Amino acid sequence: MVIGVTHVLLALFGVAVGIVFGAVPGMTATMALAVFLPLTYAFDMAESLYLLLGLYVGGISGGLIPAILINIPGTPSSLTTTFDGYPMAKRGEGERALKLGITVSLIGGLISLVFLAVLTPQLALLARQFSAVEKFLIIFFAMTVIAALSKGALAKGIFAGFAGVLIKLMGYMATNNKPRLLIPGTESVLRSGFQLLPVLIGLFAIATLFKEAETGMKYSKSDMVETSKDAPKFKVSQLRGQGVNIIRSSLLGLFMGILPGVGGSAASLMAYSQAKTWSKHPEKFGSGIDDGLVASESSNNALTGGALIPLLSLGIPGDSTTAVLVGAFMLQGLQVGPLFITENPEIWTSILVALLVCNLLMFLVMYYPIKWIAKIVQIPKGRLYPVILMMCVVGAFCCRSGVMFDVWAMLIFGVLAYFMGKFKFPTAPFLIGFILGGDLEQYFIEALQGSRGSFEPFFTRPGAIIIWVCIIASMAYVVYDNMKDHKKAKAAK
Amino acid sequence: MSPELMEQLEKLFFSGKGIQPKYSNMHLLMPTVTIAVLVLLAIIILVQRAIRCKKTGTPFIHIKGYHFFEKGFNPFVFFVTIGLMVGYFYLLPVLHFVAASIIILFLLNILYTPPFVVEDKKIKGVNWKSLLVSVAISVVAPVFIYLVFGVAFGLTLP
Repeated sequence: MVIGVTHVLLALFGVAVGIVFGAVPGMTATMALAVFLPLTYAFDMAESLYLLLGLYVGGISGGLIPAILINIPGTPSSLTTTFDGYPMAKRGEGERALKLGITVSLIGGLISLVFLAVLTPQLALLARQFSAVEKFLIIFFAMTVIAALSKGALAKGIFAGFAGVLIKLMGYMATNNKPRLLIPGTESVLRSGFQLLPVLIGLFAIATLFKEAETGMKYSKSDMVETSKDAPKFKVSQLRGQGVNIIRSSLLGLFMGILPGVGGSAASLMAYSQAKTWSKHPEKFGSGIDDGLVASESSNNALTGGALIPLLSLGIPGDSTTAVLVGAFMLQGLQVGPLFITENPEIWTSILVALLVCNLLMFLVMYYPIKWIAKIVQIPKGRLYPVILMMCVVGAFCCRSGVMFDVWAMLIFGVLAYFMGKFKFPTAPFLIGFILGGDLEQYFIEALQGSRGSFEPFFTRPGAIIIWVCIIASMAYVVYDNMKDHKKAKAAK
Repeated sequence: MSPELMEQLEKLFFSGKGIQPKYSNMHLLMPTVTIAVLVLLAIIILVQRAIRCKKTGTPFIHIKGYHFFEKGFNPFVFFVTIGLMVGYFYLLPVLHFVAASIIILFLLNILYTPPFVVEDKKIKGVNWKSLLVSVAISVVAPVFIYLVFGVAFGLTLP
């Protein structure tokens, strides 16, 4: 069944919980999915999708609440919302800013849904022409793009990606059943390697818990702006003149979502800077102008549909949150990739309907009771995190129906991610490398077997050449961007 | 480039005598390539750091004045959190899910939200409301999860 009462209720639950995760600074949509993913054991694929997409949409949208009211982005994708949202709130227009943000979030989400429905089947059709060589290079391209957006840390980003690949390779190779990279004594528990759920939960929930525990789970509420009764109200007519901004920002968010590994923060930064460039009043950006808020919120919600495009057509997650969705598909025994839509038409339809329902529910849940929803930012983290830890344990333990080693693995990856953060190694490339490492190896070996050991096809096939051009272009852009930033910093001194 | 080297590269890339994975050793190919890439990248990262340190005049291994922890670091909360987490994982197979979770959630709640009334940095009394909330969360949450996940959905809990 594509939609029913259970599906809508699960979507509503997902959206509501996602909003809480998005609204509490330090908690993210990715964490929400990682923590609730084990719950999908009890549901079928369609029901799981409604829940998880609800968490995704709610999590991304919820970030605007603290961004506007306390000048702290609830999620990384709401960073640019603080630039104009908080000044608007300080002027007494907090409620108007919140409702404006929620409305354009809905529009951005719906625009990306249309493109998801149209582009994904076309891209899947193209991807079916790919041989093992192109598939290997696409994944390699994905990893370089992810690393390229680890601003100023390209080498560290690629290192993290390949470290994730190496961790994925630990265990017994499925093809010849031979062990590799195993610590003595772990042969039985690591037969099929580390499981995705403990890695996910460790990277995104446990590491955050450690980071928050460093400062005693506190944050200051002193900068919170209360919503005023006499403040100007939001009216739909205020969107007049924002049409071009909304469409441009949504398309930018969609495009950034398609690029594998790009997060919401890059999408909203790009949209904000373009809105400023094209504005007749660029000097007003940062003072509380509608255009800035509109650009930020429409782009970060448009990212949600965009990030699903490479996932469903190529099997490559568009961001760390859709990487968690890979886990959901794997739990249900489904393979994402070029054949996904043709082999699972009902699930494909469910995804589209679920996204539509979740976006509409997000609007209804946030828009009308916004004054009450805004109080979420006052929930003490010290009360939430112990419960989150407990849910993390349940999630890690359940993934192999009761293996305590997975709970310890979750802790190991939490510690690893914590130290990676300290030494400025990004964790998103690590996760993407872990998820794609198995496929990377499979396609590499298939390609070499097909060419009888020669590397020639990797550089001479037409598809391969195009992908190499994209890889070189993305690396060149990074070098150019870093040089530009370096010059700016020097000029500022 | 010497003609001999060109011939060898040509053989490697174009004659099919490059790396041909065999059934017996294909499990070692990707790990070898990955480790080689990681070693190369590690060297690049260290060289980049050395160049940056030379330009800025900072030491390569920054020990004096280095802050590993965030500003406002609370060592008590941090290390007790780690201890309680490890203790939780040890207790789970012994006391099972509900009992272990109630104990650890209670301890974490009072660690993060101490139920004390503090005046002039001295404990004057107990904040009974805060303590009651801690007890409520510690009992309700694990029981709820047990009933929903363990009983209703039939998932295996520790």
